[in-house]
Amino acid sequence: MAKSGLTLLSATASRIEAVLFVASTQVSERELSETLAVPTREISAALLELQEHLAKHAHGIELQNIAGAWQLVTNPHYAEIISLFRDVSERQRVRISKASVETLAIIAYNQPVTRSEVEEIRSVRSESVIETLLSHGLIKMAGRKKSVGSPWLYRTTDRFLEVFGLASMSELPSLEEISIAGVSQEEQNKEDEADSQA
Amino acid sequence: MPSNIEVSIEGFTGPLDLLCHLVESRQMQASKIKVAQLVRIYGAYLSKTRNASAEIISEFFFMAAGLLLQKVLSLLPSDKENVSSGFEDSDESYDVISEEELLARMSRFSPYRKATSILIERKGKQDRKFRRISLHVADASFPKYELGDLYNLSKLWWSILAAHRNENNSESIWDEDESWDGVPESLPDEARIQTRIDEITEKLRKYPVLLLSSLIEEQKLLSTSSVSAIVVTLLALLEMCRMKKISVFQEELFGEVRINAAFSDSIAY
Repeated sequence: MAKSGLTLLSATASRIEAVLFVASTQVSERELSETLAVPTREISAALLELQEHLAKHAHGIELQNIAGAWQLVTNPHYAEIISLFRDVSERQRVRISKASVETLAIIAYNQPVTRSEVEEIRSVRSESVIETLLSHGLIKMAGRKKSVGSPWLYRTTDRFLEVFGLASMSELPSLEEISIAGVSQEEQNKEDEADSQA
Repeated sequence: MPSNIEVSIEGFTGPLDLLCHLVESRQMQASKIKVAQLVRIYGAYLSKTRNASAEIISEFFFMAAGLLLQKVLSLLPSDKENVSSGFEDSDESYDVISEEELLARMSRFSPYRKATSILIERKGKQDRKFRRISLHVADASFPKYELGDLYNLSKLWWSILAAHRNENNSESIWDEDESWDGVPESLPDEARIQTRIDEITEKLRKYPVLLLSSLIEEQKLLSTSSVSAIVVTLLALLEMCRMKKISVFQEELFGEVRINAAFSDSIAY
């Protein structure tokens, strides 16, 4: 439906928008379905409708799927304005060192994984980095490996998905894709270099 | 002798001479030893014992220098023909990775480095998006724990317990300076134990029954190192029991420990 050039939201999408407006954490499709007494399939369609609507009409907020659930977040175009408003940006900012992200990447792509396996890939001790990641809730202990010494296994958490804005791990490219992309990039660089020399 | 001291550094706890042996025999990677931490621990140990001769210090310096040399060698590129370790077994090969191994490691790590860049980029984008802040304590600002996340639960528990202890007992007898972390307690010498035996004997002449808690409290007020003073008191009491000078009673579990003069003759000598 169209009115004055604007697309109107369906009733379900409008109701979802209202619920998400008051929610301070992500809301799952199941919870929305129970709250609105609407089948999950209809909820999924309405969420996509709302997401598209907010993006299309340049709203100050957008709908994001984080760790499999939904939340209204501000439009990244207005990040500078938000950072000037009270202490919002400071309260939400998570500072992570490059070594920590490196360790997180190894854990994310190999989970569940032991500390020694992480150290094997990084070639450096990672005890304190893992301790930091645990204390920030970005990884968690996920049982012990059935091997000599029964070392702890580590997994990433939903907090990890939240910090990196991921709906799920499948949003990340696989290691094979990264390797192939890396090789292609190197070949491209070599060609560019050869062209410039010519 | 420095070899007698127990050191507790990252990755190793045990006698110093064993640590040196493990490093020299390549059973432990020298690059993983924090020599600075070791020197700090030993320095603190010497200052505590107040009993350091030039010979003891020079022997420690020799061991520390050996560790440092091994560490430097392990960090440098391999050149077996030209490198001399200075140790008797200098003809042994060093555990330095080959060029092929280095390339293999770099190749194995390469995709993760790119994945790291992807994650950093994603985080940069996500950091530009803000969400509603919950003002309700029990909602978002309070940490949530997943089932089985014992690490964070136990960490929280210990921090609460520590805070509770600090509130209720800011002058706990177990309070020690944090900078002594990992520093071994010096063993009390016989003279200190004998002095303590004399003090307790003197008290037993005045009072027939003494309480262990009062003896410990007394040491806490007098001594700068309360743990060491408590150890001396306990050793003195054990020695007095062995000599049959006292008898020790505890009427109930976790109850007060009473010390009686066992033989009035031996006390009143």
